[in-house]
Amino acid sequence: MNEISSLHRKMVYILALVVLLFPLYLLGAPATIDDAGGSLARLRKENELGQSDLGEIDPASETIRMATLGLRGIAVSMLWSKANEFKKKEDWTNFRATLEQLAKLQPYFISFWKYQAWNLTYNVSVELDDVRDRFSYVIRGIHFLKEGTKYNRDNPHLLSELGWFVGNKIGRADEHVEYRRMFKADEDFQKSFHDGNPPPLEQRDNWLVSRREYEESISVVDDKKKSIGQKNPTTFFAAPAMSQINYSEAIEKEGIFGEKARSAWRSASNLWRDYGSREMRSSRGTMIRLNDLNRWELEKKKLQTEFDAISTGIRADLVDERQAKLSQEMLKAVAVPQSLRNEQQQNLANEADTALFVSFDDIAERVAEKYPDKAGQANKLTNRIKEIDDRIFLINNNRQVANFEYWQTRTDFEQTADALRARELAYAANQAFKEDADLLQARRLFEESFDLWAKVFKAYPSLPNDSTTGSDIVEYVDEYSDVLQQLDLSLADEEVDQKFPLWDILIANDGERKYFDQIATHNQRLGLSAEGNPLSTAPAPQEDSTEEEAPAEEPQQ
Amino acid sequence: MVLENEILPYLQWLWSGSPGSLGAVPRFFLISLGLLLMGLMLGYIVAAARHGMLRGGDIVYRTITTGIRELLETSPRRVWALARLAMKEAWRRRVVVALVIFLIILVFASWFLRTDHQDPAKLYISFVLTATTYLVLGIALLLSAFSLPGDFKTKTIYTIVTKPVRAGEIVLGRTIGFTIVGTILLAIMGISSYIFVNRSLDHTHEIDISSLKNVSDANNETIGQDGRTTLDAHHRHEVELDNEGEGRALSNYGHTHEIVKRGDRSVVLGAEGIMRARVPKWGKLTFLDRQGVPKQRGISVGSEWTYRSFVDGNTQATAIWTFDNINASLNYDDGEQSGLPIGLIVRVFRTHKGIIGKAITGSIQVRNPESGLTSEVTPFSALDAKIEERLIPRKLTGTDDKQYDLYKDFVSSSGQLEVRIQCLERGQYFGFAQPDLYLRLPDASPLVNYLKVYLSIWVQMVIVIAIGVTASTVLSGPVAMLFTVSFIVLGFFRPFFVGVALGTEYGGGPVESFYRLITQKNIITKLEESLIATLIQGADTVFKGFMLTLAQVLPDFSALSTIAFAAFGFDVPADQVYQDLTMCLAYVIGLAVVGYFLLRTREVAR
Repeated sequence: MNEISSLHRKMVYILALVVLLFPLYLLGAPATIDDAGGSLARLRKENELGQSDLGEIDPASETIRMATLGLRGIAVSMLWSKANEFKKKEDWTNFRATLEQLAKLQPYFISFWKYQAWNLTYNVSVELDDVRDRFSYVIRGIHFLKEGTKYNRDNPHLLSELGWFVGNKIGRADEHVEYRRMFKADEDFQKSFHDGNPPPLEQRDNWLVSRREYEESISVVDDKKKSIGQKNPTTFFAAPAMSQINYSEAIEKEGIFGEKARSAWRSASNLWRDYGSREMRSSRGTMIRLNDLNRWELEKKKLQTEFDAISTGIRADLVDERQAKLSQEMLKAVAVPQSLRNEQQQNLANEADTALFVSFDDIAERVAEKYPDKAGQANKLTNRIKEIDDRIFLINNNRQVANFEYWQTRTDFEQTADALRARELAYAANQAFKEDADLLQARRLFEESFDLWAKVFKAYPSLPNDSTTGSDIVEYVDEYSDVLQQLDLSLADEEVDQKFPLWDILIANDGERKYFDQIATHNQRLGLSAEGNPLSTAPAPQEDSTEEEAPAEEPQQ
Repeated sequence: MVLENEILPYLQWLWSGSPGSLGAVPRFFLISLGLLLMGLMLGYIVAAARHGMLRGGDIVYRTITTGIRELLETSPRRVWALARLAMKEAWRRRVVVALVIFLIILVFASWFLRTDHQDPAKLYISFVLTATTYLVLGIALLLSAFSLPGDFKTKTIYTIVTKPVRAGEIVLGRTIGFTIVGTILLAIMGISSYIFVNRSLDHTHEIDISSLKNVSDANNETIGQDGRTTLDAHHRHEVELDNEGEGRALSNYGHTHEIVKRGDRSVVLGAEGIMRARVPKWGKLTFLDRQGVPKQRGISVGSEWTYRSFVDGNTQATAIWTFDNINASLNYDDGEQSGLPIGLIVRVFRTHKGIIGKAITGSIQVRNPESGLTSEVTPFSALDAKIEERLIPRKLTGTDDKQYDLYKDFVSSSGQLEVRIQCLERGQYFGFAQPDLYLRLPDASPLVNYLKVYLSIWVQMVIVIAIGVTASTVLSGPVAMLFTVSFIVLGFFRPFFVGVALGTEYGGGPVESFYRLITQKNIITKLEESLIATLIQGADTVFKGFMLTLAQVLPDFSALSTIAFAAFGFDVPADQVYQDLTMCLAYVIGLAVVGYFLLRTREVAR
């Protein structure tokens, strides 16, 4: 009996096992070449949860992680501590070796790649004295980050970081002249960085490589729908265009002008326009385009006209009503011109302004009271205007973050023949001064360049005087001043002053008051005070002086 | 290389030690005395508790006298017989598996080691030697800790103790037996790792023909060619060839290559100097500050690591090394140049960029410390943090414009010579530590140096075996293993351990650290005054006392390791080797005595 029941039990078990195999198969069957596999395999594929979806699978990394027998966390902590110790003790060989071991242990930890690549490129490189050694560590950090992108191929952060390293570290360091030259000449680096297919020499510029990496990071976001996390979309998506702008600037600084420079700026301009047309998520979640500012402003104007049409006279009525409710003190304070108000009067005037402010909601409310049939339309228009206002606010904010107008204007005017020639002349002037010591030629070229710059500023009135371009021009003025000094002249000399057409730019950018004396002399020639204000003709001091002068006159009488 | 603790001359280390500390021998006797007193006290307390005060005293007395007699009567023949037994046992316990693991590590090492470092030899040598150390210490630990407890468990100890052997001989026999087994393993590992390093780093290059450019002399006659090699093993070299097509591939990645003509082409031979054993003769470093006032250290530039201190440029600040026993036998003369060879490492610190791409200039002078005769300054461009090998010329001009001989005029009657280094550029700094300038004696054999490093690993192994065997006389296998592991771990972190005990480490003692850990307090902020803080610090005072006592017998494994010498390409100083061997002997003797008494406490071994 027992034997039979035992047999039955076993049979039931086997049957249950077989039955359970079916759902197990449906759930867990692995994917093959021609079969998507079970639900889990499909879900894994859809949500890209498989390890192979992250990037390269390295057998060495897998082995070492398994070999730690679950003590990976401890091993990693020890290695981080060792890396810090090696860094402290300036043992760069072992520091790098430790980073490589860590990379094997935590290849999918994005912050690790960013932090340690930064360490190599920014912190270790500056510890070395020889510029070639420095460059070699800059490159090692970049390589390290590149290695990280292999393990995490679709990570926009790492790709964008790579763009930053290649662009900004090489192109903006104090040693950027040497770094840029070495970057182009380093055949071995170019080969390994581009997986054996180095780009042609003219495309090896660090800013162009940086632009490509940024574009790659954006394509990951666009095509693979990866998130940029906490990064600000306004700066993230501007990066390729900024790299192109930096490239255009850099080649001009190296003396490359003409068609190549024009084409570089044209390309920058196009990228900047594309950037403006890109739909980006704002901080409030609304999707905005930086180029749409005009469109929304027109739309708002149109709606406002419609709104005014259904609320004729209501705004004025509301203002009148509220004005009537203002206290006597407030009315007195408002009557005093703003520049003459004391603190209390200013506060009262502010309160009055707040009380007098009439919002669209207030008007819509009054419309509803007065013309109930138009209430719905007024509310609808109010909401729409508020929505557009919000959008305009966000666009303006983001345009400010990206300095959108400036770069748009800049990429436009830099392509013009005048701007290109102006830069070329300034470069030639500097060469004539530093290389050939031809002072007269240098002066003439600088002056020609400044005349062209004045034309550019006139043609682009939206270009602010105190922009980066203004700073560039002050750099030219610095060089020009050096030339003048050698000729025993100064910007303050009347002859030079009258020829110099960029006083406004110089004044706007002389934050350090380097040209204070020259500017003061120039202002005095124009009949202004040293600071550029109209000379005071206020009567008060005259009254004082007559009082003082009066007794002096008496003895004469 | 970085040498944070000065290596004292052997005899000084043995008898007087560094200033403010004790020599090894007095220290050994003091510790032995302490242990003896502690043992006597404990022994007496236990014996008195079990047999009464008088009888207890008698037992202690007899144990001591018998012990001394037995230890003195230790028979080498019986020790050897027991050592052979231990070797057989080790063999039976598949000790050879360790070798297999080691070979597997070597086979797969290239997965984890890359040769694209500036100094790949340093990395490879560090790796194999560190792997060997850990593996050998692991084997030593397992063999020694489980051996005696295993015998107790299986009762095989009875077959030994019934023979006319003494407890001390059992302890010593095991220690020696396991040491021999470990030595054989170590020898095999040493040979395989030496071959591994050399084979892994050996490479050659081709000459990149397109890079070759003719070099002409002042008369515009071609005297050779300059160019570079192909990229192999992640690097290439600059090449200098003569008109015959022979020459050298210049130093890069820590080595050079000879180039010879074979048929009609120049062939780059294998790497030279990958493994080196520079023999330095170190001096004493002192400083002058910017006003020329003597100082023990230069100024700090704010670096967290205070190994080096700095001299400021274009001031009177000077780093001065004083060398002893200088004579003409140290001179190097190859017919073209003659002088005193030195190795110099300068750490440059800039407060402004200077001219980018231009090295900071410094000056070298020699001075007779007796007569004050000083040579004219010799300017040099500082290679930051790299070893620059150069000669101080034998014929030198003095500050009075007269010609002098280095050895006759600049060396004092007591054989001393001063070498003075200054930084010449304003706002820039040179940093130095004592080992950064040395007199370069002819290189020693890298193979012999490698053996010396293995000897230091061997010393560590023997100490671990001695500790393991001693612990296993009274403890069970796993407990003896944990005890030995604790010794090894604490031994590797001994400086930190002592630092905690002395209160020089941040975060307080063990209890305070634990408290900070669970309350997530950082290690810098002071604990607020409270009853808890007082209790914690009181408990720590007790712990620290205990730690300090323990630290006296703790072997400093980090100081015993000489891997850094081989990795940086320096010869392990003989003084270091003698010190390590002496320390090893002291541990073996001391632990054998302790082991003997501990084993005698076991019923079976009386």
